[in-house]
Amino acid sequence: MDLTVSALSVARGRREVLTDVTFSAGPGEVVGLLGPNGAGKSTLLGAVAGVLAPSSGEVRVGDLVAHRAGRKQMAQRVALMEQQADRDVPLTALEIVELGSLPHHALGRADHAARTAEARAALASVGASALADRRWRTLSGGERQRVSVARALAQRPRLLLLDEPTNHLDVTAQLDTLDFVSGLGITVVAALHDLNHAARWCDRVVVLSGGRVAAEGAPADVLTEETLAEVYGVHATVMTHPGDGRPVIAFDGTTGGRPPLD
Amino acid sequence: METRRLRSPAVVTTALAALLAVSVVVAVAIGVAGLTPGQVWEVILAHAGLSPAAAPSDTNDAIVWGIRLPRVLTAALVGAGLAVAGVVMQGVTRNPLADPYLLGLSSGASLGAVAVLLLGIGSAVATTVALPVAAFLGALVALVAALGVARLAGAITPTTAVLAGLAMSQLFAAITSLVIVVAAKGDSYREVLNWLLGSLAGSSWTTVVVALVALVAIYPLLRLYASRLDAFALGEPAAQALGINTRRAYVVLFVLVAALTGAMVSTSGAIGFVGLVLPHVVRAVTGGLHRRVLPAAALGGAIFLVWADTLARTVLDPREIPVGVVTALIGVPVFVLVLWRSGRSSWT
Repeated sequence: MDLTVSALSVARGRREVLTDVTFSAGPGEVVGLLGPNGAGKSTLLGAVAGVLAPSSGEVRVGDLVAHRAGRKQMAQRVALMEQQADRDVPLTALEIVELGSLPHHALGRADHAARTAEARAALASVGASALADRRWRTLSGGERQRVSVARALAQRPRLLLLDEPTNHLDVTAQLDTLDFVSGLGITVVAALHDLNHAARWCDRVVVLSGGRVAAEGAPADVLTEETLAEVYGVHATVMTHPGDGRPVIAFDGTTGGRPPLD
Repeated sequence: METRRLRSPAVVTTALAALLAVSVVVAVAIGVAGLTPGQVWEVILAHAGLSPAAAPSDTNDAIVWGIRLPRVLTAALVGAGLAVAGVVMQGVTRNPLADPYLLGLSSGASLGAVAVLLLGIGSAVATTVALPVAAFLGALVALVAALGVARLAGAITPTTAVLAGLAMSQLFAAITSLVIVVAAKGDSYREVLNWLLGSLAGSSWTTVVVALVALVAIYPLLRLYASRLDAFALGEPAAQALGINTRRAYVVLFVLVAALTGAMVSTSGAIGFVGLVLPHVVRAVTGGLHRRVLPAAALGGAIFLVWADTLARTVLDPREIPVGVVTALIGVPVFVLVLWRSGRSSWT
């Protein structure tokens, strides 16, 4: 499904968090959203999901304009997997995944048997069937991440938005997750911190800095030593992977452009 | 999976409904003039138009039909209403401490009811209608005030909503007391106690009808929101991304809860702890899905208040304890036990 973001600005309170953001994603493309903390990645995902209204510009998902479409209409096409919050949810994994299919059922008259079957299938597809009856608070960070992906899949989206999907995951689970979502064949927009993940799995990347698009394009064109120094304030050596020719980034240190945290 | 089967929703609901029916009959039998459950059943059958084996005596009929049955039924309906209101408030605010009493809805409703009583609307029929309506408006004012204060504190979050609600609860209770002491003739302190701690001593068939109409009208509407209440637990943005118009749902649910609380408080004053404790006890058995929690909380709340009121009117016989004292004395230890058992989780 085509995603077009045109001249999008979003304010939170009085502060403008995104300014004049333009990019697009074609059907089946995997787009990485990069940029330092506070660059506006989560806000952009919220605006694309139609949860945050733009102050100007617009987001189009297929033929729908996000902030004008009905919530339910949007939810039938777009799933948002938020950043993992330390939230206590008094439900089991299966019950949480069931919530994913809400947009496809009449609220209040939901067909529980059908929803349960869909949820079990979604859990099975991420290899988490064994977690079905576990309560949310007993799940580890990685297990929660899997359940959240399953919930997003139960929504049967044609555009999947992921906010740092590899947080809390060990290396195997990180690779599994990214292989899995990029193999779904649907359009994926994922906020990522790991630049090597972006280089390996994304067809295109959009680099945000201070709420604006600093660079956009294929990873090999965008992930250059100059851009990384400018946007992240780091010295890096960008090499070429001998196998697939994609960029591989090794970090050498900060440029001192940003004061150290301590 | 023996426990799984025992806890299946249908089994839980059926068991609670049966327990409620038995509780009502037994509670009616208990009192100064002791009756047997059989005698109570005779009276109920006679009024249902079915001829029991032995015709009930006039005295038994007066005690059961005239006094105790309306009181026990009011207790059951109010308990059900308050427990359901607690479930919904906890779901909407995502705060396990939310309940109509702690958030000020009950004391706002009390103030509304007291104002109508002291102003004197006139005919008894007019008062019957005006009382729950004024209590509803009082609850709504308290709720809007609490949310307004929370908003002033920055944003309406689970924490600010409950803190602001606590403040409003104290404020409206104080105003209610003040109004009664200034305006009431006679035993004003008993009146204050009855409205602020709750009492079912004023129950009649009228209060049964008021509570029944409110519950029958509002419960099915709340039940329609069960899935949305489940989704709220994921946080507001996630619920919105699932296609839910959260703002509209919040307004609808708050108004429904205010109406339910108003109706219940207008019959029996502000009874606390039912809305706070029952949802936790119920969730420990049914799990957190609202389509299971809501019916179980309604039945559990009914059973709880029937027995709390039976204790309130019999333990210090012939004096009565305000039923809110009993619900607190039972409810708080149960609450602590549930919290302790649930370990680190704030939800049960």
